[in-house]
Amino acid sequence: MSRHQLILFSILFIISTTTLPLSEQVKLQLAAPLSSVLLFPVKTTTQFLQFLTVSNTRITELETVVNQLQLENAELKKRILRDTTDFKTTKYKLLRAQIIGRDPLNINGYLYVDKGQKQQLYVNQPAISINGLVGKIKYVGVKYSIVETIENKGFTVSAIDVNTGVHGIIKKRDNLIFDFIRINDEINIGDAIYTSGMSEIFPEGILIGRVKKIERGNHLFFKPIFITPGVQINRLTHVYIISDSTITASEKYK
Amino acid sequence: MKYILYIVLLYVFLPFNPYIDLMAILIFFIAFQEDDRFVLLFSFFAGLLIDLYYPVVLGINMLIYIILVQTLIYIKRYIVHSPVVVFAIFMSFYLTKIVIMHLILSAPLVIQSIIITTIVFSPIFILLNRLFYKRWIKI
Repeated sequence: MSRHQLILFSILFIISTTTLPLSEQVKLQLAAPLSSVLLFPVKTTTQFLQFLTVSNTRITELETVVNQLQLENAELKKRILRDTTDFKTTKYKLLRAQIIGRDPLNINGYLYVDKGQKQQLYVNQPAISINGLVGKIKYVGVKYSIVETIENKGFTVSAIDVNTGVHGIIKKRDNLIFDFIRINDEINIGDAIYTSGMSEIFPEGILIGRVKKIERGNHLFFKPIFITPGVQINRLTHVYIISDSTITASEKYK
Repeated sequence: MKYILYIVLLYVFLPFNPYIDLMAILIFFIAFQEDDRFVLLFSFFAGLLIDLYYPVVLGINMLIYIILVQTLIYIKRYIVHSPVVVFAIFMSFYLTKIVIMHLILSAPLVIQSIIITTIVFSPIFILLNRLFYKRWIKI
């Protein structure tokens, strides 16, 4: 060992040993200023990561609330515009499910989610996202489920144009089509199409999409109407399963 | 530049220390490869950072690391530098540290952490070699 190294080792050894017998109070007082300087990068990074985690949780909570409010809003709209005799409120319970896979043969047609029988899911439960209807559960495994999306060929759902009140059926063929709309029915480009509630599966008031194009087809009675879906299936990372609904008489109208 | 990278790695490894003793691996690597005086200062600084995480035991990690590193500096001249020997010396270095901590502070022996650290030692040692010396094994 060289002389310089011996001196260095001795100095470091003395510093280390002198701090050992100090009382806890003194050690904490000594550590506080050192910690604030030396651990600054670690603390800043940790705080930032904690902030991101908290933000993520908050976003999930807010998305759930937004979805619930959208459903409630649609129901209230209907009550105001058409059905003023129904004084009942439906409260939906939403379950967040992470997308864990996609069908490689039909990448936007089926989504695999991380909730299944353990979370008491069952076939035909509707799946939604912040931007509207995603689809319905097609298969339930123990720990996962398969969601059939509106992008899957053959998917159908009863729908309504909220601006004009025209009912029809949304069908997925090559495009998403609002079908069974008579030639004389008034439909405008940009109209929002919602689920009509005339279904045992889907509650009313979930946004499906907006009218993109209206064609004068060859059909004698109906005109094909093309819809842009509200949800972009290939961008989804999670969905909300409408797991339960309770219908209660509104306090306001009792 | 290399020394700055060591300090950066020290800060990167610090939060993972309760789960995998990456600091012990890093200090061992530096003690094996770098200048003796730098190693002593580095091990003191690393010990100080760990102690600042748990200020109640301020001084203990600094002391253990400088003594172990000084011992390592002393014996490394007399040993055959082969992968097996390096691994065996690391195990002695690491387990001595664990045992001293256990005896002095009654720190719990986290078997899972010890096993993981033992498993990841060789890959991390090789990666550090690659990162700092552009070759997978330098012994």
